Amino acid sequence: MTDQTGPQVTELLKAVGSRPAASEELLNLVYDQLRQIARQRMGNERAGHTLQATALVHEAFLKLVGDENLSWENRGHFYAACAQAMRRILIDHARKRGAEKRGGAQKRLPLNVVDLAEETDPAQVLALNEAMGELERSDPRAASIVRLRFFAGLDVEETASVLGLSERTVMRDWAYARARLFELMSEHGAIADEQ
Amino acid sequence: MSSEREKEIFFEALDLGPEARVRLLDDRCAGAPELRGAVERLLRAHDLARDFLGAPTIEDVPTAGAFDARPGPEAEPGDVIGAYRLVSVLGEGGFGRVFLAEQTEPVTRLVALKLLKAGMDSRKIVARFEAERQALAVMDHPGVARVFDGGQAPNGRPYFVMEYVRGEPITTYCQRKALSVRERLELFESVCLAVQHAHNKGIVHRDLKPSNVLVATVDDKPAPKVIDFGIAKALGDSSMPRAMVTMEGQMVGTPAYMSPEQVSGQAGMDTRSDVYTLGVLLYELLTGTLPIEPERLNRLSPVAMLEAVRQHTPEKPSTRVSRAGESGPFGERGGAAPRHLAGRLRGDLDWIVMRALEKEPERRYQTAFALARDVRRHLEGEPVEAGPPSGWYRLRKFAERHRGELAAAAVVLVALVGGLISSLVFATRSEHSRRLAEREGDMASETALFAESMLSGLDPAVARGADTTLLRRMLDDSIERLRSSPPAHAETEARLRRMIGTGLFKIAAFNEAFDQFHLALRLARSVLPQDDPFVLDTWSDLAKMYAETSRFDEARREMQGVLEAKRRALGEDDPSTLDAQFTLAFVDRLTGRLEEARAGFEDVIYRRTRVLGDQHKDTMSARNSLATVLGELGHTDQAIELYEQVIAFQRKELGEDHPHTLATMNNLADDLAETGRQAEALALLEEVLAIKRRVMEPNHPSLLITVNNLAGYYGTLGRLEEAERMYREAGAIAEQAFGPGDWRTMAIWNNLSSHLLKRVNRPEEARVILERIMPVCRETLGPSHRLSLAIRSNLCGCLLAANDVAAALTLSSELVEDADAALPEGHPDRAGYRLTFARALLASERWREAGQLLDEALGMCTEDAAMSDMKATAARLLGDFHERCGRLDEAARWRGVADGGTLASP
Repeated sequence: MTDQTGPQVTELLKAVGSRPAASEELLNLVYDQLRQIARQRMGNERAGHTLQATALVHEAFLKLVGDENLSWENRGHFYAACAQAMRRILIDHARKRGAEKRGGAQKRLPLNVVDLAEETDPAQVLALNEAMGELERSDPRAASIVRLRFFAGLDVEETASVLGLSERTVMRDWAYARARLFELMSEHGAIADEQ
Repeated sequence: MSSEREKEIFFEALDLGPEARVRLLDDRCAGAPELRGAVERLLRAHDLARDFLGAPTIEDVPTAGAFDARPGPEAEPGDVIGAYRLVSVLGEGGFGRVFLAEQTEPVTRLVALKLLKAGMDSRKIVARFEAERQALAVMDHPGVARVFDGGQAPNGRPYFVMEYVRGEPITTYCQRKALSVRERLELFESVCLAVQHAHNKGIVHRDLKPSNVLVATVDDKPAPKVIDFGIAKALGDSSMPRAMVTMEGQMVGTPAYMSPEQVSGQAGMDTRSDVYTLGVLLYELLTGTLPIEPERLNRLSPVAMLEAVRQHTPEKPSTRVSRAGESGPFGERGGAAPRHLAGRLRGDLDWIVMRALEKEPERRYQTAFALARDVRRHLEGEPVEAGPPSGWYRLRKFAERHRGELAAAAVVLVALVGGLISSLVFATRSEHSRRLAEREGDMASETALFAESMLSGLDPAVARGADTTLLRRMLDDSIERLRSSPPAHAETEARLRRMIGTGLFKIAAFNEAFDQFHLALRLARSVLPQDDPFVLDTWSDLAKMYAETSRFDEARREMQGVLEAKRRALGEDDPSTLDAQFTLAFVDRLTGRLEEARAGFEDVIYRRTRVLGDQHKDTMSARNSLATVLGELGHTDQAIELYEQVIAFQRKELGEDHPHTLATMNNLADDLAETGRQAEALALLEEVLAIKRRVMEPNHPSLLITVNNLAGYYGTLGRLEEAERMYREAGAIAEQAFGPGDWRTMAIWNNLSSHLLKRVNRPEEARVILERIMPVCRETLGPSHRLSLAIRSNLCGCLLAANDVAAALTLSSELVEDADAALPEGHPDRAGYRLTFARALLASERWREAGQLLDEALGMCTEDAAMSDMKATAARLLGDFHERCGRLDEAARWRGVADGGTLASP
């Protein structure tokens, strides 16, 4: 089901390379769409349900792009925007919840899945964001793989196509990035159990 | 940027097993502990981060290209393939169908014909089969089904023809007949022997599983037969892991029977892979379940599944059956209640199975026969060879062989590291288990302290000759465990690592000990106050390891740090502070800072006498060290006096065959000889050697000191061949025990060279050795170290013998300078090296300078007995000098002095 934003998104995607404002517009569009989906989902489901980035992004894709035929390059732009939007949503959510429960004892859980479930420690999301910042500085390629794999929920093959890398490189960098992020977060005490 | 390098090594390591990873790190990060630490942290994070960020590392296995998506028309009973007419379908497997077929040519018989699915690479399969055919043909064992033939069916599919076995899979058979444990074991033993037969013919099965081990009843007895030998190989080993995934992404086989190396697709997979699979089979026969439960595996992605086979250590059979809480595989007729069965499996059978299931092939039974033999031992009630992978049993046996501290310490150590860590690791998931982990963490710390005290009774000198391989393996195991599953608390890990480091130190594995102390210190510093006794002691351990690995500058720097910190934290007279001061003096001595070492030891003796008493062993130990320094400073008479005190104490307190007593006797002999008391020295050394040969292993490195010293005496006594043989013996032991760059090793090679040069007159050989060790020695010990000086002096001799006068001159003038800088006034070697220089000057006919130098050298010689030899040499050289100058009277006079001098020697 395609709604009226479909053509708009496609236009934006095509313009990302040539018109700088296009990527900002695209991001805003994707962000709104993702939040809307997330809110609906969270509202409908019982507490404790987790939302996977993959599902959200997939749904956003359907809503925004539908069955239009997109080149991999344009798909890439879309997913990059999704990743950025997802990251923003997760962080906003974490900040908000962090503020709500300020003063309470910090609960630390293994960070197996970062999601929007109520159990997730907002501090972890923020720590992940921080660690991502560090990874972006030291290894931009690995960081872009994490953005697509984790925040936009792409699989290895899709990530490889979007970034124009071999699958092997994606797998390896992904392994490295996870280890590095995990290490950074452990250092910051965000993953208390697993040290 | 270093993170690039980290990443590179990290990628390399990802593909490797734990042991190969360690080797890789040893290689890539040699001399770069920071880099190593960084990569290790990454790897650890990688291992821990398995589920982190929600997706497995490699979740997308390329769907197997080995299979063709388009199945061809199926063969039916009635079809004819080659000389075979298909009769009926016997079974269907992942690779194709098995038919009962009738062979008409050249004999009429029933056979099993396995027809592979369409789409497999027929040509290669057939070619591989052809290559294996000869080997398959020579297999002849009642437990092995014959493989008769193989080829390509008209539709191009490969097929294999095998002996038709009327039997059922071994597991079904055991179940149906409700065989007892003993019966199952006997059956399994025959399977092992059949597999061994194939192995003897060079054939690895690669696909052992119950459906390939069929059992028929012959004469009322079960007769097992292993089918499909050679088939898996023909199908191609590289396709194995991928081949499990069909085009639909379904698993056709189960990796549960595959060895870790097979799953990894490693080359060099050998018969030990089958041994692993036999272990899986035995597990299944005894527990009715697979080591890695399929329910568990099936939840995983194919790649995670493979990972599980590589990493997951299954629970012991006894644990499995008691957890299962059912009657297990034995049914009602087996009559085994779970508790009863668990009891039956616990011990021997657990160990046998777990040994066969070791992840590393080197740790398994090396042959199927060895596995069968251990099963037999168990059946006969004999102790089995296998122990638990790192447990009590083998240690207990070890302890029986090596009574005493070593074994006791090992037992405690392993129990600790093994038991505690494994229980710690599993407790990391939930809130509840975290609390459990904390409590156990405290426990680990306490017990680690206990183990430390156990190990403190050990001595590397004692352990060196003993069989420490087992302890070493235990320690390596422990390290691996810590690496793959570190405890929740940094302090716990630090304590465990220090304990392991201590263990490694005690068995003289200094480099490895160094790494552990290094890690322990870093961890401890991150969580404990900097003046915490644990931090300080670990720091001190690390400093000692620098010294043990000949990195003296670092050792000295760190030890100075330790000493200052301890003085601040504990005061100047605290025994622990004094230990640090003692070690520092020791390092000073090793680096040639003899006066500083002397002052250090004297101060330690003074303080220890006050704090611990005059007759305390630590006070004596400092006296002993002081004596050594005094000897080296040329104050041999004082040294001898001290040694005699120390020996009297040691004989009384430790016994005459204690290594410390013997070491002191060695030193005393040295100094006796230097003062010309050769006969006493020789008698003492022969006594020492006799005791050592009696109480030590023949290759005990502590023997080498004595052997070396005695070699020296035999040399002076003209027992030249004996001397050379003994030097070489000592050198070989030292090289093996300490490494070629160790000062002790180099000292012995130097002695041998000196012997070859001066007594045997084979300067060329001596030169080769000296030129090899000189740069190493300069590098590790510095140019002014006593050994560095001695080596160069001998090399000068060799150069002169080869008439390489210019080189000799350069080397010897430098030598005199370095000696003057390093040695105190009046040290005999200052005169000695002048003689070396003078020889070079004489050889280059610089008479005047030579004469001056000889006069100077002679002036430096005292009436000290230790100098008599040197004096004689100087006099003889002066004689040469005067003769050259035509002053024959003078020459004769000096030669007279020289002869008078030599009379002092025996």
